[in-house]
Amino acid sequence: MFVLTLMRDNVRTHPADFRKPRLNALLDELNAKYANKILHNVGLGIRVYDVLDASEETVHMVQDGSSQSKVTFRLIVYRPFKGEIMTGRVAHNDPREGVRVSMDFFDDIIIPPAFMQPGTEFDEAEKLWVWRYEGSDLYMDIDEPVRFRVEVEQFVDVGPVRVGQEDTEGGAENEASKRPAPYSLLVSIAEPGLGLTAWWE
Amino acid sequence: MEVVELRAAHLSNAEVLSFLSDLQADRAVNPPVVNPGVPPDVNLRDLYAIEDEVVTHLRTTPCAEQDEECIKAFMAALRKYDLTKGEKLMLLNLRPKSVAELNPMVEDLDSRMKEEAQLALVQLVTEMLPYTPPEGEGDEGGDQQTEEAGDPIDTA
Repeated sequence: MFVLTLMRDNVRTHPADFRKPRLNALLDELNAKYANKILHNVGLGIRVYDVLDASEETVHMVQDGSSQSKVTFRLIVYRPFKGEIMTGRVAHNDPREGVRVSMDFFDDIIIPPAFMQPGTEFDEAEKLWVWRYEGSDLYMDIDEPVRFRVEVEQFVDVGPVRVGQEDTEGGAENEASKRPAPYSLLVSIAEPGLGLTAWWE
Repeated sequence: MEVVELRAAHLSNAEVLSFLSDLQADRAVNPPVVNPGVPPDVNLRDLYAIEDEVVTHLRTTPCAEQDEECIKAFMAALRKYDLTKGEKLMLLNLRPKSVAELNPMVEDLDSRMKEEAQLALVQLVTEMLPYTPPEGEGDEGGDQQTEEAGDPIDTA
């Protein structure tokens, strides 16, 4: 589920941060940049694990007096491997999209209808997906723990969000939820042992 | 930004949880150095948010009760089974309590292991990894239709 990614980046320390021990100043800069951010084709950055190396500093004298150095560090990244089994909670049932799963810190996990157990259909009355199995109706109730397998990982380069865009287009279509997620997982529950954990107890 | 190695190492959930909760505990004792006149966590708001969410999530999983020793002993005990690194990691993170739960975690389980070996593996997992289910969780299964009779193996 979590991996350590070895990375290198230029870190600029503002003179105001010289009062901090150098390592802390570097960690704060890196964490501000990478924590809780989706890195394209990398995953979701959690926080810096450790700093392995920092080069000699260059001081920008004619600018603001900040110092810059090249830092090699390891970042804790949420990047499940293909085929990995994980657990989360059912967050939302949608007749077209399927079931959305939340892992508290990451919500762009979708079980599309094609990846559900054969015999699963959308119950219009309950507004829930239901697996009709040998006479029993197994509903995907909200907030129930669910176990799933990662099948497809999608990175979408969404680019920067333009401030002006919201004014021109406006309306509900431009809500944050309508923008494609930069990193999303399509997961499957179409196997014995997967689905709501309660089904297999 | 330059990615040198995407998967330099895999971390178990327990390692991430102990790393993050140690940092949080440390921060409570030694508050971080901040510049005067600047709100303390304006730059690190994202960091604290994701830390809290990850810790909240992981506390609800079996990894909350695993420590270094029990992970080491567990990994040593798994050596006699022919499992890949990823499969071992999933067993550690998810702690399957029955063969039904084990089935998706080990690819091609039935042809790789005899039924007794599967049962023995599940027993090994439940014995070596501690886990206390949250209170009240056991009763909730009542309104769920379960098509499988409960497996006799339990944490005891």
